[in-house]
Amino acid sequence: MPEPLLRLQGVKKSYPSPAGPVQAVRGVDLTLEAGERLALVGESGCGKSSLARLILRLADVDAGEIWFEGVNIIQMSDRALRPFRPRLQMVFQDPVAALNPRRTVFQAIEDPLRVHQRPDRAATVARLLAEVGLEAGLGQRYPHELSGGQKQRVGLARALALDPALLIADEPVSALDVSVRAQVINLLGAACRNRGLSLLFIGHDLAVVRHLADRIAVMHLGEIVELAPRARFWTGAAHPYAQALLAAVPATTPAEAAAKTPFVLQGDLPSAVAPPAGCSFHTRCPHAEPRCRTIPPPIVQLAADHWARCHLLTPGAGTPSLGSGGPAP
Amino acid sequence: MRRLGLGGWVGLSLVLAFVLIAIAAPWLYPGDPQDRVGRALIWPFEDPALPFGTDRLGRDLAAGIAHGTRVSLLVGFAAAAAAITIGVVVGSLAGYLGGLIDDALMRLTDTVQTIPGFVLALALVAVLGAGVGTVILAIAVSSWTGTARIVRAEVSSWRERDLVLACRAMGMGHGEILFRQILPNIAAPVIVLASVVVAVAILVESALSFLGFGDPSLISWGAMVAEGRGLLRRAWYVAAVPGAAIVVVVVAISLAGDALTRALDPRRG
Repeated sequence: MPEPLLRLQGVKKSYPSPAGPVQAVRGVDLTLEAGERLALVGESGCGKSSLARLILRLADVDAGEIWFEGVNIIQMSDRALRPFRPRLQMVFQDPVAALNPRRTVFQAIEDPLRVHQRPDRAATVARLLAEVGLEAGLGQRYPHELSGGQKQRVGLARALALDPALLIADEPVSALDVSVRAQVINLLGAACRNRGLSLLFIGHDLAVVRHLADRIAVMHLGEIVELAPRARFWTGAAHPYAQALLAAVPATTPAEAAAKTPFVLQGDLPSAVAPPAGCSFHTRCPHAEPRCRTIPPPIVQLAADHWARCHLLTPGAGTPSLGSGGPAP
Repeated sequence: MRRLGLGGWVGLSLVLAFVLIAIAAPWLYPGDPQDRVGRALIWPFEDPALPFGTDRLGRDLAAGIAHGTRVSLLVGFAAAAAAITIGVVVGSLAGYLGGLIDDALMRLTDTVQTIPGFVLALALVAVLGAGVGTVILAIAVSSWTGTARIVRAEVSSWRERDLVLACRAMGMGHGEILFRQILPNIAAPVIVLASVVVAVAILVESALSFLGFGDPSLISWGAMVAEGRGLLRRAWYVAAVPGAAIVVVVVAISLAGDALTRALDPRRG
């Protein structure tokens, strides 16, 4: 099997806090093929953004490996990493915070090209502005003169400037008005298709990623609890947490509404300083059993490309109604 | 034209006027301003050739003011430039690098800040001897702490923004992130502080000269006020004219600094 574009293996990261180390990422394994679009979903504080920063080497992992284009980028120095930087770019959640208020749109998009000494920068910037649907005249404007959607387009143009192989989009539309979200999502999808780009889309709203992702990974408290292709996920999500996220997506057709099972999560995300023993979701899981409170759940393979981390999917004292059941570990 | 406001225009015009006077002083009033030009204590406007009158020794006060402008502005701007440079370097290193370097630099700042600036200036002048260079040095080493604190706070808050992550993700070096991306954004508070430091430096220089610690070979507003101190009852203008010059230049610099902050912010104007 050829090496995927991106492969994470046992990635862990914790941050110090007055209450003790916050375990933001607690052992993540994930692969991303070239040209694939993967959505990483979960609620605020589950470690999605931390994971994005680790992949970009904006923070250093505590343990684990991150392989990008066949190279483990974990041990690389900043200098050695520099040639890899253009291959891996990111779009940030809040375009206001990610753009420099004192640099024009042109300068913002030119910055990455200048840093890597690319030729024909003015022409490249003009081409990028057109690609993200901004008028050439906007180049001389400052960020505060643009709308939220326009700012995020500038953020996208800047990320695309170096022609990356992988684009990480960290909640790129959460800070935008609902009316412009679809435009930015479509733009992102079009950029990935036209450029054959891999996308790691981080979000908390399944409705947003529905039309964008090839595969969906659900993250809960620093762990990936379910990983499935989009179509399989939408009809057969196995983990109770994934089902809860799905239940929160508004139905778009009467048939969908009728098929929906009402399921509302109770309580908040448990503390990442002291994650619950056993399954991290047991405090909120409506189906929790005694073993869920003590034994960490196994990873169960439900199909060739469908995994979930849940006791209820294994034969035992569980309720078999939840999933199709998998091979015993 | 961006809005400067009435105060801004007045302040900038006055600062410009003082700068022109300082440059033109040797041509306006050739020769030594300490020379006697007429009888003692001619009141202002008595003699059209001597608009500010003369002091106890018959020296032209207008010539003294013009030549004193050179010293005041030189000390004010040079000391402020040095203080702001030290403050920006210390503050950016502390704010950007954080950790132990931050702690060390900030404790140094605390230490310098606990020493009263004027007393430090007096001590330095007493040790190194009176002279314009000493006065500039004394003011610079005692007035960079405010800048260092503000710059550190601003840089460390900018450092946490996604902008810096975006720059690092594109492979930009730390020097460029700090100088090209962060520092231009904190120019506004630094310019305000610079104007305050210039004003304070002019005041400190005047106070040192008033106490007789100024450069004895140069005429200075503070020394002129000291000169007129004994004549307050008989000829108050001898102290009031240089005193007014000090007040006007300090207010003008403050107004100009305020206006520049507003004019330099791309989000306004």
